[in-house]
Amino acid sequence: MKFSSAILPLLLAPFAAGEHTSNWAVLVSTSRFWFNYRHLANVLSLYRTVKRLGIPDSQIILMLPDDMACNPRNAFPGTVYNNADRALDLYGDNIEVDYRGYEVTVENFIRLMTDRVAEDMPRSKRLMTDERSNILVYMTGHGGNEFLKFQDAEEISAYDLADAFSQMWEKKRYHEILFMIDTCQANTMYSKFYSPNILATGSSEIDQSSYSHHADNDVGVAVIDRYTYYNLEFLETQVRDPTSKLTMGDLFDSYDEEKIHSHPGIRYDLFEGGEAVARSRLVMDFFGNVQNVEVDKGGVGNEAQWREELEAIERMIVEAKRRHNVTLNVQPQTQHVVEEGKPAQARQSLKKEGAMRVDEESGWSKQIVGAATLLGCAGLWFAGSWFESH
Amino acid sequence: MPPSEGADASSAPKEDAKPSPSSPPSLDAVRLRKQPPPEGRESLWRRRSAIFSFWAVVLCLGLPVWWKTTAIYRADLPLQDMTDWAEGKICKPVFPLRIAVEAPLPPQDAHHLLRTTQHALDDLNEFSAHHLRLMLADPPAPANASQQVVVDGTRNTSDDEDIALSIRLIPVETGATPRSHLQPYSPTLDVYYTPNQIPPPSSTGSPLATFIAHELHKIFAEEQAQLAYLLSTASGGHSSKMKSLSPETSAELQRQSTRALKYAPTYHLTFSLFTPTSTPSAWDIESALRQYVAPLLDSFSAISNFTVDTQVQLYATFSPSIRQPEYDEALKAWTLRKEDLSGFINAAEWPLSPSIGKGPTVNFVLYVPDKTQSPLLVKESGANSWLIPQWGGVAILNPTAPGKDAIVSASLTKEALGPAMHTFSNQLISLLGLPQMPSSLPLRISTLARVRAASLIFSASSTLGALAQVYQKLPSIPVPDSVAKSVDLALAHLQLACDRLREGRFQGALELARIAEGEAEKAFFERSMVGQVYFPDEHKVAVYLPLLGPVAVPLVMAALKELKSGLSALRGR
Amino acid sequence: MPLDQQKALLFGSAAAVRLLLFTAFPSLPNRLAGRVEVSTPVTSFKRLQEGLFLYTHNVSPYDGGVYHQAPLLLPLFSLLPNPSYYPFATSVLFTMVDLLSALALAQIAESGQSVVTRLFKSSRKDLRWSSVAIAAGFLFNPFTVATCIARSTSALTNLFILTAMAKASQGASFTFVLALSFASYLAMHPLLLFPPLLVLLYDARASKTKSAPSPFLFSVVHTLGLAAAVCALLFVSALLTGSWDFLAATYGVRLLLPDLTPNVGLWWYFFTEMFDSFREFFLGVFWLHVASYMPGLTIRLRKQPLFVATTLTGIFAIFTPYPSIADATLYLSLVPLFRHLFPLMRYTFLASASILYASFLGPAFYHLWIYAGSGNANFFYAITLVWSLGLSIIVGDSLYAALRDELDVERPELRGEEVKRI
Repeated sequence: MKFSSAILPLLLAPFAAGEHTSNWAVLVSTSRFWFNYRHLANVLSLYRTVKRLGIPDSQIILMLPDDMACNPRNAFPGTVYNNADRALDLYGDNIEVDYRGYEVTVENFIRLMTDRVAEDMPRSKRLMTDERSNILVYMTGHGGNEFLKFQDAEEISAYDLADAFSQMWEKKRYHEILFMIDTCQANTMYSKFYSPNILATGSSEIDQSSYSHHADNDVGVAVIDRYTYYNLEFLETQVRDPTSKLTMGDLFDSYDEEKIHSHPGIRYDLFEGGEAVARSRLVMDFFGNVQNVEVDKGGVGNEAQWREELEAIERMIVEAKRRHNVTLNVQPQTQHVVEEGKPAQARQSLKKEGAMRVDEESGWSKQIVGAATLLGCAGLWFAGSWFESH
Repeated sequence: MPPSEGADASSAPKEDAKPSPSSPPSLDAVRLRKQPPPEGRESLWRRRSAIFSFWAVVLCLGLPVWWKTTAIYRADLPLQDMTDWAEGKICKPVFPLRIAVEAPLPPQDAHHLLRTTQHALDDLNEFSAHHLRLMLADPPAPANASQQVVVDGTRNTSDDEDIALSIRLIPVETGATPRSHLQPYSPTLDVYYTPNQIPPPSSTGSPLATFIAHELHKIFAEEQAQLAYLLSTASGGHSSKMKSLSPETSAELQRQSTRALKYAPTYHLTFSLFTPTSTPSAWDIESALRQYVAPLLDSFSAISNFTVDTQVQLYATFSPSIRQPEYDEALKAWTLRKEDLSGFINAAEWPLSPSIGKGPTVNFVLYVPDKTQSPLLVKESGANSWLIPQWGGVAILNPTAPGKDAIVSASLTKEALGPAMHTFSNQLISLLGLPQMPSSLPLRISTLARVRAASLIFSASSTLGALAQVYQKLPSIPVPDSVAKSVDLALAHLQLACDRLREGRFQGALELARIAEGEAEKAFFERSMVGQVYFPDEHKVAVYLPLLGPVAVPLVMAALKELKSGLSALRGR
Repeated sequence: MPLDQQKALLFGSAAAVRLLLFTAFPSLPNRLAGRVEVSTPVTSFKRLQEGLFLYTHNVSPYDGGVYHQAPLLLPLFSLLPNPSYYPFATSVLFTMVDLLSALALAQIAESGQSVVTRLFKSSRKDLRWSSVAIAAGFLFNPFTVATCIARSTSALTNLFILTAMAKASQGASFTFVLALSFASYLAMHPLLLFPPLLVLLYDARASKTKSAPSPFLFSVVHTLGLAAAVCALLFVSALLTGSWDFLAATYGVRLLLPDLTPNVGLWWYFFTEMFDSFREFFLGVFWLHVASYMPGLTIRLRKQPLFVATTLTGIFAIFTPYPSIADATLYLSLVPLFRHLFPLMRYTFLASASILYASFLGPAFYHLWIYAGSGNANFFYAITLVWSLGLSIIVGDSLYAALRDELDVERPELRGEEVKRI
């Protein structure tokens, strides 16, 4: 008995560590222009997959710097395909792009990750994670040794990314992160990470390019990258529904360098428990939104009692309010009076708050004031010149 | 770059045009050919002052501009304090609960009963941070209460609120004694006793005192467990004096905390009606909410505020990836498998995440199945509702009997919504983290207030610690003064909240901790604190040199030449 | 033909040309007002109309972030009938502004300060154009005409700068201070003209009265006068708009360059490409660069203050954040005052060729970039580089010529000889 109670916490510990309550996905393409069609197709494919596996749109941050579907060069307007068979329109009719066009910048990406956003930022554009959230971060674009280009204009370095993740860790903004990147020399991007519980994988080693899988001759450009293609192949053919028990190890084992044409890398050392634990994580821990549902006890509870309770609560509240009012009357709240006085002394200026109708001023007072000012200036001028000429 | 070329172009001709006689007679090449005539004193002075004026602009204005614009402003933060808070070195939360005892006894007897009960209580308590203190309610007034009235006029009423529980001793003649009854809607414990159970002044213990102590201990057991769990998870600093929790309790508490939403000052509740067909298309939700939910929300008003919205979605289909309901002959009902419940919510198509409102959204989904698929139940348990941790609840509203069309008519009445609302309120209670025990609602709510106050203090402290870490780790991020101000406010309010806890004024502690948490969050998420994009020093050379180089060369050359001639003039003298 | 008759003819024909263009091509003003070469965010007439609309509708003209010009322009233009319906009054106003500028330019020419100052007499002092010719050069300069037709408010700034120069060369202190304060109030950077023009004023006063006033007292009085005038203008503006917000919207915009609309200057492209973290630093560097010429030139060319002021207007045309052809036209009209330096200039062909090249190709490349989509920003930027190069050649070459001219006076024996830098 003693023994069992001593060992129980030990048994519980891994269970507790594996617990997460929400899943988020940050899917980023960093390149624009038509010939980078495949990067947007990569991201949209993954978007479709995580959505299929149950992550709601409100927990997917999709960053698309360009609109391929509406590109004038697109021979199939309004669609994006990731395969030459064009069986599946990724664009569909239910795409929620959170950051688009020139909003996709390094700064906005870092702001998103660290949640340092403006006050009026809608909730759908924020990553509202906590220490119980698993995050899938997928990035694709053109990159190099320790950097990833954003929109041909700027680049994010591996250091920036590592710092952003470390800030997230400090603020307890994630439980575990799966970082996935498909770009040239991708593995360098996660080499600078130093925060715990990040499982990172990339498409290619340093000095190695990542290649596209195939082109669609009618679309006219490559439609998907190899690494992403084979990840998707696994996710689409093996992970059929949200109850899948496949592990990340299975996914990583499916990588075939012959097919991918580069050496995908996997970084386990940041993960608590190392390789073994990381490999045992379910694919659904990152790509799906597995929630532990608690089914209520069968049968309806005692409803009559509940109604009684409600009435009693109401009485209780009425009573509490009455008491509260009494105390309010006892001590007149001087503070309120002070605060009410404030708006009255708002600045008297032309600045107006809120929406309002403006009309041309009908009176002449403004013109008269203006004319007086100008006449004053002119008068000063002529007086001065008269004075000077005499 | 053109501007610098321009600078060059217009300053170089000036140097150029500085007529040959103006150059000092010290250069060898010149001496070989022809000695230029000596320069006039006036032109020499003018040339030097012109060069000097350029240098003056560079040194007096350029350097400060460079210093000012390239320096990263970092306000001073009390890093040590912040780290100490995060490590739990400054505030050890304690929860002294005051329990008033109303006893119809002579004062000395009452005092004696109190003392013995307190003794028994202290013996039972294993958790030093949480202790119950008994005191006599008026009359007679406790000695320190009158003092407090003098100190602070508001004290009288807040004192009233800060009494966690009052015990009423009621002498009875019949029935088993001692026995107790906890009133469900007020924080009052009635204890029935027979007068002969009052301990004589000489005795050191009595069954009544032990009984009361045990009752109290039972009532606050869950609260103690919750607080102990909270302290153990918050940070390492507290673990030493921890009351050890049994693994079962610990697992249960873990499950509870997984289920409950994170604390927010405002929650947004969304009640949604989904149906796969066109009926029902309306529901009497407003009055149902007013009757069934509003009282509950009101009772939470001391802890959080709520905003509510509702929606009706017709033709809502399941997501294609889950298994469709199957007909179960035994249950005579359509059933959903338990593992499919997590996919029941069609996240892709059901609009369930309004981006309105400040706080987190709690979703309550009422699903009315198609007539052909009803009743719809969960296969394993036959239940028709379930809770999704940290998200909300789902209830399936089956028409009570196929014959009764009234309930699946176009509109759902308030009465029809009753059971669902009952489910939702239960779900809301557990989502908000209200403890299951004891049975008195006010007690549970005040327990929740204490737990929330403590957890807010911890989370604000940990945010401050995170900010201190980020501040030290990332020297390239700017830190404006507003952050320092927020940090100071947060620290001050944390200290106040901690003091209030110690005094046992939990409502005040909760409010202060809420402010501290808000300020700490504001400081950490300060918008301007986005680090300069990684910029190695060698890149800086590449930025400065091409632009400033061409400007600097003529300036430096001119200055050198003047220095040289000045030196040689000195030497010649 | 007597001088007055010549002048009347010149002014009459210049006014006729402008009014004819205004009336015969009603769409021309608006088309020119939309050209980035003519209208910048801080001088555009379209933006002025927007500000005017807000002003007459009792909304702060600076709400909406479109209007960045001085507040006192608003009452002036609100007195005129709405230019969308009755453009004639505005046309007349801008024509008048041009004529007054030409008048001021003629006055500068007549004062002879460009060749003979109190301390300096050019050896080629007889080589000069008449004031009518110089005014004609201003009035019939196509850049001036375009500025006038586009109704850019830099025409007003130019008027006040020229008037300030004229008054300084006539030794009229009060109106000089007033004119310069107006110019500085409208465009800020003319404030840098104050030291050289103060020297000019001092010289003019000293040679007029024969007894030189105390330089220290003189400069203190005038500096205080200028400060008072500018402060008064700012104060009136604050009264008129109801708040001090206009400072950030007008001078703040000029200083900090938030609007990166292309123009003929060098800043916009540079700051679109600049790393954000260095932006403030280089704003400081660029402004200091503009300002740094003033003290050096004023000291070095103490004897020819009008030339310093002229050169500074050239530098403004190249290096200020929002230059337009209006700034270039001011400089190019002042250069003919120094006709005597022309023989000493070495790159006149290069300079005029690049100016012409830029003025023809600039609009074409802008069209390719913005409308045809077949070019990119680099096309237009390359042309603005050529334009600035042309102007800076003139600035540098004339500076060389001026110094050479000074040398010729100091050492007549070296005249005509090749100079060599040692």
